[in-house]
Amino acid sequence: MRASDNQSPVMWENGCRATRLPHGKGDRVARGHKMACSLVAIFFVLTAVGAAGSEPKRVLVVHSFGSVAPPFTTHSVAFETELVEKMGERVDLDEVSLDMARYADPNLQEALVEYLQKRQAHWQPDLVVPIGSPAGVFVEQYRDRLFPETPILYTGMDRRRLSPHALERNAAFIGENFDGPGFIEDILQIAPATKNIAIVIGASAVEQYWATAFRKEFEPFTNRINFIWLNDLSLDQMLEKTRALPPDSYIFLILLLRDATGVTHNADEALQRIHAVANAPINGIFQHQLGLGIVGGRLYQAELEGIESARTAVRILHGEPASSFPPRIVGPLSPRYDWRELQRWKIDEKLLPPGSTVLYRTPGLWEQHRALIIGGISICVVETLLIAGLVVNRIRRRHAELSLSESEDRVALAADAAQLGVWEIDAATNKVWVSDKVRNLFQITPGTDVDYAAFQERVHPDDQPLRDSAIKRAIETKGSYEIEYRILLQDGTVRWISGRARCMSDGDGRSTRLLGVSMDVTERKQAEKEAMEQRDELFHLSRVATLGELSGSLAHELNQPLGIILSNAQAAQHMLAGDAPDIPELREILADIVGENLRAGEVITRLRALLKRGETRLLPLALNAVIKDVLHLLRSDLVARGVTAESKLAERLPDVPVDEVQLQQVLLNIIINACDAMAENPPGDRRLRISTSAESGAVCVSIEDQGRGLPNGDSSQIFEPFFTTKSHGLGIGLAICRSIITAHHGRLWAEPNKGRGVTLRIELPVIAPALS
Amino acid sequence: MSNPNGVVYLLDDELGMVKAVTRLLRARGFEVHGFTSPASFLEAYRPESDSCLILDVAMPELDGLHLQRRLTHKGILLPIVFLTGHGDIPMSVRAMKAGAVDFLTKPVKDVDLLRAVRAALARAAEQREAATISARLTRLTPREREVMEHVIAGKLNKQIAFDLGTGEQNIKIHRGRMMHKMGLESVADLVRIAEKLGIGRKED
Repeated sequence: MRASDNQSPVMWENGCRATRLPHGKGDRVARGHKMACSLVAIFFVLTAVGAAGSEPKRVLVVHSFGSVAPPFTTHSVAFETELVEKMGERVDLDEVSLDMARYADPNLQEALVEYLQKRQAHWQPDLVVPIGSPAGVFVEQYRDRLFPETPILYTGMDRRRLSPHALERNAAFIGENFDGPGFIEDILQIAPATKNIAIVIGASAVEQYWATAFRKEFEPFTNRINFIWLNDLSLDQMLEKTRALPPDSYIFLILLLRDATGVTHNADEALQRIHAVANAPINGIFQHQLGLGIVGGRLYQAELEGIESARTAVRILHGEPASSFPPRIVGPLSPRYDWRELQRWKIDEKLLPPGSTVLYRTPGLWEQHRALIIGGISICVVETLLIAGLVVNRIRRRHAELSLSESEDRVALAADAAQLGVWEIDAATNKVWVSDKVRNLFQITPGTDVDYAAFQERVHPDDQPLRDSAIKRAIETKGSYEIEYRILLQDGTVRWISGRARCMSDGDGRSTRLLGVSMDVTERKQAEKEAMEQRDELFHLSRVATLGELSGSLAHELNQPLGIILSNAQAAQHMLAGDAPDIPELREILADIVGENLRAGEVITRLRALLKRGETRLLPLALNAVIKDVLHLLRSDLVARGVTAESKLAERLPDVPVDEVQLQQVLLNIIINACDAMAENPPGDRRLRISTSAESGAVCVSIEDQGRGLPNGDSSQIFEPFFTTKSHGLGIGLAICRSIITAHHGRLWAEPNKGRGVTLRIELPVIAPALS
Repeated sequence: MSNPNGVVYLLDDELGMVKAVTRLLRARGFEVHGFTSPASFLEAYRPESDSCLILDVAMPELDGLHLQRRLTHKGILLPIVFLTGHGDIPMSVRAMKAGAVDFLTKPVKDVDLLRAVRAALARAAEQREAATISARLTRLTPREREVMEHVIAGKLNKQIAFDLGTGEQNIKIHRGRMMHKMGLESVADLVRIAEKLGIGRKED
């Protein structure tokens, strides 16, 4: 149901931009004039590192709204990137696009089906991936004629849009399940006084579906909320309405593809137009709308879904049946809000639900200083105050038109000592004054006049919009800002700058100036990066050491399938040498060989993931699945040690953002420790209990052993580096486990059991509540 | 003996492995019975035929080395071929000391497995023969036994009669009864068996 053709970059929290394919805006315009069902069949052969010589796998992506329609673009780019990376071999990717949002004519669908049938003669896909509900509905409807045998991966759509039978035959689903009441609850959470909610939605087929669905879901609220449905209006009429809503109103934008008068719109542009005139706050559904004028709440993100779909696609292409994947519902992100909108509508941050993130915040003066100290910048407080005092002093003096030179000298001296560059922009004339240190930092030729353009020139192109908008906003709102950005010097070096500025205006408001300081923080950034890399390296080394301990049982995990393959193959060879080979038996043998081969491959994939060096990457995951994976990897080791593992995993646990490999590492370490602790117990008395549970806002894992317990009953000692009770090992395992869990914003601790042994508990915060 | 070629029992906790090895051995004409748990194997085991056991070392319920000891305690002298996913030297030494025929690691080649299975079945046949002979030996009278030892030593009836202080005719009768009780037809057979059982060596 996402449909917007907005071309503006999707901003991430950290200000980076999502990568996108180089499609032009003209593409969409041209398409409108072509056939009603425009077809964009682009042929990519994407080559991955280490491309294999074998036939590449063929994937057909079916787009709903053209290939340049965010958040679909975000979804499909993430999908394609992840697919190529994870596949590890060549992928032959073909795309077809139905502009169903605008043209839902059955005759044209028929033409498209015939076209696809003709193409199938030359190009048979191994997997079909419809993205978005119109594509999903189309593929489901024509599947028997087009792809009767091909696995289907439905993604980027709400589960309700497909029939209950869609997933019965060789098909998988990764999508969302929009929580209609949840959107209204999000609004009431931050604006409890709301009496009216104006619903912006268009009148195309897909929009009619959602209008009906949401009308029904909003029913429980109708006794306290007056819903104003704008679906039978033109956009201009909608703008008129939202301009003059009654007090205590809120606007909720579901979708705007085509209004009631038949005019096609870009939902993101429409959002911005409404935002410009509306007299009430606005909410939407998608993460990318944050920053375009919505206040915020639990928003859906397409990128994540794209990545998850690609991972599933890889497994299907590697031979796993699509029907073996249960339908996967990707929930919304944790609540996040646009600070500027909160300010504009005077929404108290105390009303935000716990765990909320506020973006686009422009910090106050106190926060500036606090950040300065916390940021670890080595200027002592006294110096900072001195500079601030001197700057103020300097301003006062300027106003009094006293001699500037003395204070400027002092400012310069202090700023020099602190390695700070000082600058000032006159908003009226656009003139910029910069200190020598700034010239030095930005490599601006001494003695030249500096205007705003020259001042911006050295900023890294990717960061220019960030700084530009921060400066303009500070001047507009007479506020202040604190940002970190990069500058790109002439020789190509990149340096990190921490910049803060504050707007000063005369008492009569005639002249407005922006006063700023800039500081080179490249070393700090570098140190942070190195620390991060060293941490990741340490995690990696400890992981390798853990796996070393397991090498024996891992060999077993591999030798078992290899042994089965060899014996089967040799049995078949012998059977074939006979007079009348038993064909059904041979068929079964080959099926077993394939199955065991996949199993051995999985073991290797798991090991490779664990042995890989990589930076920490947090993605929402089902904890239970990670635990099952680890127990699988440890199966042989547990058998060899005579340990029985019982797991009691809670159903319907919300996903938690984790680095899968690092979490596996933590679980491996803790479980191996628990087994070591029980080594002296008689066989049959070595029981390990693993359980999961949902706590408020967190998910908890408990690993309970029946071992010798904590040394001296002291639970903190075991997490100290180089503490060990074993004859082997360095004693850094648990220390590293704790730092991994801490890096996940979670907790790891040990509790002595009532009887004997210890229970280790891991608590990880939940980002997004699961919807199902 | 129901099957002249012998019966192979196979015990591995993994069904895939049981199926694969069963196919391999059946293709070579062996009678194979596969099991995935020690309990089901113990229930199905019949001592009538010459048989051997192919045994996985690592099983969750009861590991292979334990089962080997348990069988020995029960008096089941089944030649065992161990198969393991990851064997170490101490483990194989323990198994061999406890009487295993061979200790093979997975993945196992058919030639190695067949050689081990044939050796195990041969040992089973020998064990059966030895057990039969031992049982027959107990039925000999002390005098018959004395006569047998002398025959094995290669003495003529006359010499034996002299040694034992009796008549040649008596010796002939004892000798005839002894050969009959032992189920043997020629002195050569007697010597072969005696060698195996270690009878008569003390006189050398």
